[in-house]
Amino acid sequence: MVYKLRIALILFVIGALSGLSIVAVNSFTEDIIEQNYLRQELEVYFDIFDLEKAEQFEVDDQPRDVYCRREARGYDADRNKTGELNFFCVEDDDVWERAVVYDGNGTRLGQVFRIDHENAHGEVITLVAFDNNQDIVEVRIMRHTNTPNYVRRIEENHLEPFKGQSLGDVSFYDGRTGATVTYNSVVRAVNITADNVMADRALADYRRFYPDAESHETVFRYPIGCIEARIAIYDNDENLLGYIYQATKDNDHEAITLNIAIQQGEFLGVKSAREDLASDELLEALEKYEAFEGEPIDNVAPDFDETVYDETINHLVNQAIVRCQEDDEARHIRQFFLWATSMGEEVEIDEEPLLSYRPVYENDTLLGHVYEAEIDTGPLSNTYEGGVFNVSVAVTPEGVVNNIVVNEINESGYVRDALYDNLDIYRGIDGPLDEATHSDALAGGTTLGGVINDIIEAALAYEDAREDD
Amino acid sequence: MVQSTAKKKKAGNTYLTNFVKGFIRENPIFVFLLGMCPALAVTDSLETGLGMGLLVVFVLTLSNIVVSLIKNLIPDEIRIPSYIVIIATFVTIVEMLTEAFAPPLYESLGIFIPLIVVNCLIMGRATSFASKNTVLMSAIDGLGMALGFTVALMLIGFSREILATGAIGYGIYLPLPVEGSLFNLSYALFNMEVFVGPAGGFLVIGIWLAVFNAIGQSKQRKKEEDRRRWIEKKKREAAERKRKKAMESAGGSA
Amino acid sequence: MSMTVFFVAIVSAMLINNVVLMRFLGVCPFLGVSKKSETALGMSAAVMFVMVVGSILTYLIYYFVLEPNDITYISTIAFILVIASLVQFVEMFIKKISKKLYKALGIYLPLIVTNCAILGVAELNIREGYAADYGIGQGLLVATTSAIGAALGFALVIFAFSSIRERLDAANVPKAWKGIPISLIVAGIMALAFLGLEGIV
Repeated sequence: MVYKLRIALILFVIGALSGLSIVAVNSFTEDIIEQNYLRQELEVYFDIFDLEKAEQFEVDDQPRDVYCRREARGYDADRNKTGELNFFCVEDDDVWERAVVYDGNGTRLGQVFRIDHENAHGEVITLVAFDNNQDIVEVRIMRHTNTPNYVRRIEENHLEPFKGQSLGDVSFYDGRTGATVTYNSVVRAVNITADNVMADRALADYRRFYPDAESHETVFRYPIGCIEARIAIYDNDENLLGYIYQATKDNDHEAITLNIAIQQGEFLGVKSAREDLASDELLEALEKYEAFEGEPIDNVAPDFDETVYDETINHLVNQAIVRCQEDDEARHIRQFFLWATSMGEEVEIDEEPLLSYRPVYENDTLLGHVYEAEIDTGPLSNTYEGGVFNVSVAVTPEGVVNNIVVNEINESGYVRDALYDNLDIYRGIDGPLDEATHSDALAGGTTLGGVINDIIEAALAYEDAREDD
Repeated sequence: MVQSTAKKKKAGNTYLTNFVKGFIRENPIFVFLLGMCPALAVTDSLETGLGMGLLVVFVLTLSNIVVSLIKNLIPDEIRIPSYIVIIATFVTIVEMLTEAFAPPLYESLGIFIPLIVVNCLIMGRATSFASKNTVLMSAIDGLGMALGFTVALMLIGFSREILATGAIGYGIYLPLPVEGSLFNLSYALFNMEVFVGPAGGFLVIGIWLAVFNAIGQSKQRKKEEDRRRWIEKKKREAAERKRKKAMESAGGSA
Repeated sequence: MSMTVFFVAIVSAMLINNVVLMRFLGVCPFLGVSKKSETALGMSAAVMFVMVVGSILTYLIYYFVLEPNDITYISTIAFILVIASLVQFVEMFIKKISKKLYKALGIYLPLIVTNCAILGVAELNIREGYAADYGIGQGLLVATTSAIGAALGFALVIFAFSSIRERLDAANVPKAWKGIPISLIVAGIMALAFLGLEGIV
């Protein structure tokens, strides 16, 4: 017994001594380790923009600017500032961090997006850095859990070509031979950055019509015709400033995308949506239309016939004006059926997930029914928010889906955009949804596609049942 | 008086032989095949090999000293668990120090730092040497063995790095004041990427082992040859003597 | 969470990131007990058992003891103690339960404590961050699946290697290459073959 106690005591003493020494070393190294990681991270940003190597970093977690999360400044040995980073919060789920990089003199050099992606190999953190002209400076894999030598190969062969490409026009060099999970994560990161930057750039575009514009939202995508979308422009306090109609048409020479601004019945102007890609001839042709700026839309009826572009531009501007006039009259109904004029009484139905339906008429002719449905998925896995999906589905008397409008959704960012993009495939569907539709709808995500599928199937089934009655 | 200096000299010799035995005669990697995991995994460059070796020097020397210090206090039943705790403590300390002062090395060695715990070399020296010898001897043994291990890792790392890249980088993983690379041969021959890959580790160690075997065997053959010659010489001499004797006796009688 | 996660985990751990040939864990038993395919199989069975149970235990200890108390820096020492006691316990247990099993596995069990594949897989399960990706509960399932995959990979490679070595013994190899050197070259060629599987999931 005494012997056993002695053994236990010896083991205990050894354990205690080892624990004490580990705790002592830990308390000594803990801060240094934390500083190291921070320094390492900041040095990567400095390296990308070729800033002078900083001897010392100062990090300010409570900076003056409200939007700024933290500021980091690097100094050389003589305490001269060699560079500065301002990190901003980003609301997009995929973008973990956005940093604006300045050199020692305070000149803005560009931005870095830090994008986090989970793939089958684990987490990949990609940095996408671009300069003030939105040209990519460097794409760098910051952290990964793939086979190191394989990633080294991707870095050497497939990331270099990104350098110098414009974010507005990224093409992926040899995605086929480099097509691994990690490379796909990198491509995705570049895409997300491009989307974000382009959204900013679109805003800059819209400011040519609305100088106070602060945010914009695509309020309606038209199912047919060359007018693609109506974009609402808001100022800083979320007041509606006006609309932009986005119109696209291919003529024999190029795809033309125009932004046509109309503010409360007044024509503000027409400009090319992608001025950097547009030909000089197109820009020249558009100058003629400045004559109409500030006119009431009823007076705007361009009929130029000088260049090859004129016919196209005339057509698009006229179409936008027609759409705008119609929108003003029957804005709400027309999102379901383009030629609708009035809507009948709401009829409540008690059939999950459907809530109600309303008939829609063009003058006296029945165009179809609009079903409102709601599904509450509850919280979903980490990619999706889940929660309440409120969706309206317009169905023709023949049982064909005419349009789908999402009234309420909790998703944001990439997931929501992918879902909106995929709604197009449902238009014109008239029967049960097969597997193919399922997965197609799902580029954005299985769970969400499933929710929309359920709603559409319920609406189609109800319409079918009513016809039989 | 004479006797004591001779004893001293002999003692000095044992210290020295004890120190150098790990380099060639009892090299942990090339002779005993101990600690093969790190020898394969972290030797894709000279510097990571050296870094790993230095960590092992630290852990093995200290654990040998501590084990030898407390060898009389620990009953046989709990020897292994106590040694494990002691070794694991030093490994944890080394891990934290590396993370603090050589972060690139920490990143590149990765999981193989905690795995020093199960490096057979360390446990092997603790049980077979340190638990039976004096503190000083154990410290010298640990240092010598670990340095032999380091030299072996560096040899493998050097071969792999030069074959794969044609250059030897320095200052990348270890916190050296300068950074750069040596040799910089840009031959197509020195671009065999396979050698930094997993397969390269096996191939390089296999080739070096064969080289050492060949050297050992040729030495052995030489030794045997010498011995055979010596024996033949002796035989000849004996035969000569016999003949002479016979002649003498024959002459005598004649 | 779908079945794909498990499938990917098992294929990745078994073939693509094979413990022995790609991660260099458990090379000592790989070279030491692969002279005969029979002993190789015995070792694989013992490794599989200890690896899976050890992974589960270390995972639980990490997330329910070490992390809540903010002492994750002692994980190495905690893990090795868990594995050592587990091996001791298993040895005693098997001895009591079945003499036959003890005869088959018993001699390998003490060797397993210093098999770095066990501690390595336990550490990897934490470093891969399964708990952060799938939550602690499902993370445990993924970690266990990876451990099974890793053990299967170990068994596959060591069995194949031992079969080759049995043939090699009879082959006419140059004197200097006999034994370990030629075996290492064979292992290198096997690693080259496994290199071809990189990047398929």
